[in-house]
Amino acid sequence: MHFRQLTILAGIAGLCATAATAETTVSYITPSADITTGPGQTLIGVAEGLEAMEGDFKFFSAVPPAHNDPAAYDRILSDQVVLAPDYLMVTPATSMDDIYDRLNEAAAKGSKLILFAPPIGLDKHPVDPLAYIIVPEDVMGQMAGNDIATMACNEKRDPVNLAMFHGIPTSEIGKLRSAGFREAITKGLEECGITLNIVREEFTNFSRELAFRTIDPVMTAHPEINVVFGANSNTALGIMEGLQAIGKSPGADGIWIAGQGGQLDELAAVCRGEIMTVPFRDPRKMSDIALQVVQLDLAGRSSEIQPVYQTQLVPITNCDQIFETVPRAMLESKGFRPLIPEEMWQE
Amino acid sequence: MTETANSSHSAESKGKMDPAKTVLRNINTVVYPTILCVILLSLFSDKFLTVENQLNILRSAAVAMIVGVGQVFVISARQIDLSVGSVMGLTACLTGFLVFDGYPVILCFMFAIAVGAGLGFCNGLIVGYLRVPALLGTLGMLVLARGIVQEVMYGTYHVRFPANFVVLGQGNTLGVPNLVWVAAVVVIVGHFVLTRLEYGRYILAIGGNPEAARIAGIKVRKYIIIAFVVQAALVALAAFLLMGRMNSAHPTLGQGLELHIIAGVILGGSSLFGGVGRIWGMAIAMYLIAVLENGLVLAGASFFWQQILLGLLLIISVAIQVYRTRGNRTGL
Repeated sequence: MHFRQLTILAGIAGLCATAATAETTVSYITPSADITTGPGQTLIGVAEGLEAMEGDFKFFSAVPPAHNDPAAYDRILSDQVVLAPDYLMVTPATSMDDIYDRLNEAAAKGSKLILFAPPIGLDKHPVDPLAYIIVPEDVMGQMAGNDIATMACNEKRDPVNLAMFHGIPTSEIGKLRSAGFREAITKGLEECGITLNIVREEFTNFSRELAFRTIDPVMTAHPEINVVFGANSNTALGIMEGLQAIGKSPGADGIWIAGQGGQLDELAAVCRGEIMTVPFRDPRKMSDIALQVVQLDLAGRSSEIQPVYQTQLVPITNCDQIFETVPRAMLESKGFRPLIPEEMWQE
Repeated sequence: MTETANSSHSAESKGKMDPAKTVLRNINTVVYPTILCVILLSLFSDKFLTVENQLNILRSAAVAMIVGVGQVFVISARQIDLSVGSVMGLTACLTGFLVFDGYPVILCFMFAIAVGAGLGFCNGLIVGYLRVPALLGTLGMLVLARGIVQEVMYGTYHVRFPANFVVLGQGNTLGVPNLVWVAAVVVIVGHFVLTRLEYGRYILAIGGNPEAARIAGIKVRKYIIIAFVVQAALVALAAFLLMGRMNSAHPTLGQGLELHIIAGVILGGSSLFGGVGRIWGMAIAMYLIAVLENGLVLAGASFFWQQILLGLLLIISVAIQVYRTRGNRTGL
């Protein structure tokens, strides 16, 4: 081989090596890749955001087959320890407690952690992330509780016979939302002298299908129920569909449903008047914050990174608020626009 | 008549087959896709073939291998155990109480095995004596055990066990994870029992033809109960190790595990219709599943591709197995 060819080959190899070393690896581990869910939208946001950012990024993601399977989540995080990405973003599947060991192993391998976590005991977590991005889940529950209490007071719906459909029993998110809702509705109804009866509580594991199946026997046993709380979007949607399937009408004149999270099809149900209230957290803003943290760190401005970022919540009770609040790109997607009557669409 | 003639023709042609062909014919079909996957995935990620990652894959597969050994015995006896995931969750959570009450690790271990074996005994009685089909009997146990653990824990879970407990699941011996050592011992012993001991031969005989086994004097019910007890005791062992590995015990632990285990056992060459059990094949299949899960993540492939490839692989491997079985029968 001639010297010139060798030089060219060496040059190419050098370029490849430079490119390889300059590449920044980012992983996002999430319990759900469903694009209608918050974590699914955050996943899309991170992937698209990295493509748009300046620099050479390689993106990895992984999702367990079942979102509440801690053993599968542990295996996925073990893989991330081997991969040792520069930035490891994680939304816990059930609890932060399950994943500390793997997170610390990843941190020991040089991965910088960005954690989407519930807002409890952050100072007690035995892990040191670059940043926490938190959703005040208790506030989310309180917002929905306040909205329902206000509606009941205004319309003098007395008594309020409430069924609560909780999430996964061990989920910190589920517990915080349920506790927030219970606290706010109790207080709000007390203030206007309306009686609150919590007639039934069920754990439906954040599952739309399980909520759908459970609402039928619950309504048969307690036909007096006039308000149902769903601990996440899928639960609220399952309750709504289950009520419709047994000939009950969810909505202002029928059974009131309070949802949580504000995934797109849940927002569409609010628009149609079938779900009464949903606090919305913008998953795209959460991914923007995570990427902003990456950018600041890469630019050597890590001192500007806040240890904790709060995600803003917006209470949504009607279609107008949705069009004022939710990013247009999300509304135009298949998860929302086809699910509302055309005349409700606002340009 | 035709089948007998074909079988003797097959036996004759087998006798004339050269050793290389015999070896190739006897190797489990799952070996080929495993080798192919390892080669392909190593091209996409420079971290895939590292010792660290291979140990990580083996550690991921270890729990499934331990549970899979028990399931090979059960399936070889023409039964099935769908309750493994729930038994794992219940055993782990109950054992967690003992760990936090400060009992010695060895006592906690014995308790876990006893709980598992007890649940397996119940499964065995339901299937062997009440004559409930295993599919339904163990499905009932799946729901029952999960309900019990959810009720006992009622929204709580165990976390951050003492260090002397965690070391079993997280520690290494001679550079190899403890989980892998345990799985290796269980696989070797399981293979020995199934192929060399009277118990293994009886299990295969029962699975091949339960009525003929009964007429031959084998106590069919007794051996079926033992198979379920062994299965559940191994689930308890896996749960005990997994608790240490994860440093927590959740009531949702093991959810969906049964499908993973049964897929690995069938992929490994055991027959869902009984009479054929392949411990080594199961171990390789569990490794293959872990390779795919790990390798596709490292290669940057989307999660959905993992599911698609695993499903395809399962269908293709079982189809090849059926084809080969038919080929053996007809002398093809």
